[in-house]
Amino acid sequence: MKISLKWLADFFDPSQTKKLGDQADKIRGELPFLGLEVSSYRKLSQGLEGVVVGFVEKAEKHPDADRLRVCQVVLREGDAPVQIVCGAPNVAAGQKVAVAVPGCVLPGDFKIQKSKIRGAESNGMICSESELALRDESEGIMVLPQSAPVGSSVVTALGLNDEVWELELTPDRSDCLSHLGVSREIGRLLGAQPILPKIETLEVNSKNEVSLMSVEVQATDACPAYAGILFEGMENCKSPDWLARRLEILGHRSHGAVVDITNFVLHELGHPLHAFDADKISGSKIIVRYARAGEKLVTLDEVEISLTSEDLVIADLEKPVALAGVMGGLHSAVDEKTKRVFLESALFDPKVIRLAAQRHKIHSDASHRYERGVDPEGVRRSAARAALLFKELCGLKRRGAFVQVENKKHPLLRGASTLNLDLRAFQEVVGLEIASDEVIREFSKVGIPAGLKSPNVVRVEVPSHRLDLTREIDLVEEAARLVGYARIPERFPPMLQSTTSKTQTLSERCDQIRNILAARGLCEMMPYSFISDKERQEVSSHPLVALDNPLTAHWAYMRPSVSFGLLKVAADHVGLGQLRAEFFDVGHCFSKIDKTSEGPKTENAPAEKLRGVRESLHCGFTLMGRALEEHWSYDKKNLERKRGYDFFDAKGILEKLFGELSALDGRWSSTQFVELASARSQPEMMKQASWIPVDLLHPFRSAFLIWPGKGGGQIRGFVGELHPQKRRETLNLPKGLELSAVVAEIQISPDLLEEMNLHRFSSTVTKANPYGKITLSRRVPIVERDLSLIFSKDVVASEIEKSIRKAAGAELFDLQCLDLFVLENEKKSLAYRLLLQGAETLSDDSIQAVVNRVVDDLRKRFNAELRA
Amino acid sequence: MSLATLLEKLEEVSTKALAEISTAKNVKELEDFRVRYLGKKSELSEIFAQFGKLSADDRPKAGQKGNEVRQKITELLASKQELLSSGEWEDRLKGEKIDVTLPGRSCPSPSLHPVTLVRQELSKIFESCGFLVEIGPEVEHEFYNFDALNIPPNHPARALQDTFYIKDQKDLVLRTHTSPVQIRTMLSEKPPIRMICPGRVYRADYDATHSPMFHQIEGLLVDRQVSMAELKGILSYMVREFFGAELRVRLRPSFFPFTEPSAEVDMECRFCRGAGCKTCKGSGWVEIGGCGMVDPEVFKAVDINPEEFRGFAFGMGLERMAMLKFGISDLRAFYESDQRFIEQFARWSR
Repeated sequence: MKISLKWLADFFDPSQTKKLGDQADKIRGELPFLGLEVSSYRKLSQGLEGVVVGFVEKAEKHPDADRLRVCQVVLREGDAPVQIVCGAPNVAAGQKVAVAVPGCVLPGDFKIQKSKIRGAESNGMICSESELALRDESEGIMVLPQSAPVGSSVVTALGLNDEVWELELTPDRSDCLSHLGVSREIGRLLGAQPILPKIETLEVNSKNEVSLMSVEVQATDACPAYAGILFEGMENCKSPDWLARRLEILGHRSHGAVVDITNFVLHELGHPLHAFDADKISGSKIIVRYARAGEKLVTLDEVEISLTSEDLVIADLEKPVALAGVMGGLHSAVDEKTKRVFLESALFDPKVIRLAAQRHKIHSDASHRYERGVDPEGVRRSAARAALLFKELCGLKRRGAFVQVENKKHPLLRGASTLNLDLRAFQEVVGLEIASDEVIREFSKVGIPAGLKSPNVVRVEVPSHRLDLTREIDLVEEAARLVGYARIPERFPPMLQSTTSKTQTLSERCDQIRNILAARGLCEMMPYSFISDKERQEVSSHPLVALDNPLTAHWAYMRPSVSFGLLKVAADHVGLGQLRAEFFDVGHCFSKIDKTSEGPKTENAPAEKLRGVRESLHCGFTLMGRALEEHWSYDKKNLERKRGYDFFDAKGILEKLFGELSALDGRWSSTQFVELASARSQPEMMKQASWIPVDLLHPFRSAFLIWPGKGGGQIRGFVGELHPQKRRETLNLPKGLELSAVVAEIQISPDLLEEMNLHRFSSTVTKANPYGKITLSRRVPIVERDLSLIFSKDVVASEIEKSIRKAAGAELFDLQCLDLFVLENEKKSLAYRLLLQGAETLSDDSIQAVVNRVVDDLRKRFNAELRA
Repeated sequence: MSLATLLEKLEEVSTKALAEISTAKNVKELEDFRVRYLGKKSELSEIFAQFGKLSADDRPKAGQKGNEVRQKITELLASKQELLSSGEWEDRLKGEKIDVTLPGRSCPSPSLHPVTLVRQELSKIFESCGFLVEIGPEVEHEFYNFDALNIPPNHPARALQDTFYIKDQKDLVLRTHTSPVQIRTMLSEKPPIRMICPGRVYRADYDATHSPMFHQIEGLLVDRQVSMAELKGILSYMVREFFGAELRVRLRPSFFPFTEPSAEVDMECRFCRGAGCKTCKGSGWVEIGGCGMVDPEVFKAVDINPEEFRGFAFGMGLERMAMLKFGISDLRAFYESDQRFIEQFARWSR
């Protein structure tokens, strides 16, 4: 909201006015500490010091340019005119204009110099309003009133010794949405109370004037008070310069005196008014009612809106003439032909106005104030103020009485209230001790009458404009605000005796994961959680959570996984020439689920209200391009040097993160295998995994993480290489850029982390023994035995490992897979190293016994042959 | 052979050996000399073999001289050995010379996102004062995001936050602030409560200073005796710890539906220490967040007796804190996913 300093000065007597001007900087600086934020301000005279009033004696066409005029302008009474070339179409002889003389620097750092324009000398510039920064845009030069004395500064001639503040008000302070409101706060800083402007005395006729204009309020709940006055004798009346200028300074164009006066009173007193052309009100009757669904109204801004039965309208006998409290209708608007004016000053329910403004996407000065609440006393005060200005400025005659219809039982009209402020409560909340007389004094400085009720209780009469003061706690805030938050001391809260320490929260676990991934050299990315419709089709065949009001189609859905975003980011980096990209993201992902099933279970979130959306924490990473960084030392013949990232790079990281899954009965299973199996027997299993972008993965080089559970387990994550065909198509990589990419993602849930943490380091970890069995390995030697065996090609490593671990028993300290050879005849050779350690040094016999057990078992289970 | 002849021979061998040994050019030659002069078949051994034929009187004299000669040769061999081998080491080491100014093999530097770093740092600071970290969902029910926070439907305060709504489920929103986690915590825990909730929030707003997705950290303390003075104390502590400097904190009156009294939190600009600079637009102060005393209406919504308990809450933007800490001027940098931007913070990671 814009406030003019000069306008504020009108509310004070001249001695204060001077003080206000002198201390403008100080007062502006103080406002934020009263809760009125000044987001910007502008001194209107800035840059206009060298601009003077000139008189255009002659304006003739430029000999060499059709659009230019060569003007002779008198800049000082009695002096010879100077020549100025002007391009504005509206310049004419006889005008008073604003002239920037050479050497002057206009707003926007625009330096004026003597120059020659198409051969004609020009000694300055005739300015437009936009060049003087008085308005954003303007057509042609600014024509000054004839009363402006030639040679005087425009600053004085136009009354630009002013500054305009842009206030950013919080919604509770609707009382400050006017110059009167701000002057109450300024008055506190000046030490003076604002003086209300002169108003017309109005006699009330609450029955209403039948012959001239009658008022019927049907929707008394939505419109607790409606007042109106009929005026006649209107002649096409232009606003006086001072009035037009006042409004222009605040960014309003002049629309003729009647409309300008309603706008003026709105900015002066904060109460919205509306002026109708009374001759266009059919049946001379105003009805305040809800609209009938489908009724149409063309608003002042020439937009036709279709009304709903929840819209409150002002109607005549035939049709709606205004959307109540929001905007008037074009049909009944005051124009140059208007002879009779009906002035409306009303009170509307904030909620009704807010919904209407929202529904029709209209934000007006009126709706802005009605939504936040207006002073009920303003209904009458503002009408009376406008009546006076109509009379003084337009010569309008008031006909009939002031018509006022009120629903006295409405809560908005409950009148002034009295509240008590207990100073002990103040001290408890604010932490500051304060004397009752100080509180009373501070309240009275902003026009809130207060007195002592009992030694510790101050009795406050809340004025009608302070809609925000309804409870004692509101008075606590008001008192704290007036005393100043700076007075509040700083104290450290006492330490709690004990803090309920949860073992480890989900967010701590996520940070652990982040730290591990970062230490491995992966870079954390935070792309937006939104994806586009096109991307949606790439990543999921399952319906996703969609936004009702997305900012753009690119951000229309919530991501089901982090993988796709990471792949895109990695592809961007590789596309720009990076040899490798290793990124991770830990964050929330979303999928749509049956409304009847369970909502998300975050640590302390009751699920019942969030049905239909599953939200879970995901951790994902992608490795793209070369697995090794270039270094000058690497053997140029070594092919490993140029190896691309593959499945096992990603799996290695997951193993580091989550330990040995075999200890948990969880397993990695080929995506191919699972899809086939689940299609047959466990359709539910794949359904849970709908967030996984299976189509992006290489079908024979990717795996699901299967978590043990009912029905074959649950799919909780995946790791896989990118489908070679999709690499280019989906990721938009430049042609010919064949690179490896692998991506992995895990759904993190409290139970998963709980289990993984337990088994992180060793299978000896138990709840009772959370750190596992700590062995003193150096005291007892560890023996190595290597086994090389031939298996059928189809036997999977995890089965072999499981068998070895089981057969070897407690003596097996560690097991390493050393080698893999693919042989002919559908066979393969695998070499394992067994690291054995007993409670005491193992004898040769007992070592051989372990080896024998292992080999026998492998022979029996897999028909394995021991290699020579 | 006479004693004199033997002694003469010894002298001869000695002179020859010493002369030849000193000409040895490498360890191998030296070894040959060793065999030639001290080996079993050496001249010296032959001479020693003659000693037995001497008279008992002469024998010690010959023995003494022989030992002297052998001693001399041995010593020379040893010193020559040392000399030669050290030279060979030197040659070998010289051959292994490297250019120590070439770059080393890189080892990964932990690159956490600045928002994560700031969140971890702030969490640590508040945890040190007994606050526990809580988290909540990002798709939130209107009840937690608005109603329970004293923002009833159609309240103008709802217009303050441009809310994303979920399609087909109009009572679900993307949370516009982390405050719903306060509600969830107050519903599930009994006071006294000390909690912080860092997290991702969304608002339908996008320009140079607004991102549709950003992060906040919010704190709540509910206890029997707590006032704005303690609130100020905690905020000052946080600023001091986070910026590592004695920067003052001030409160300005403001409005939030869920707090009363409400305040904006400013701190002294860390770049100019209050003197006024570009970052603080010359004012010497920068706004870092909002705070206030929990409104009694909020306590009623979560069934905590406002007569018995009081609380304060505060919240701030993690991006804003990161911008102030690291001197980043453009909010959008956080979401552009540029590795070179993120990597710079590795220096700061701990």
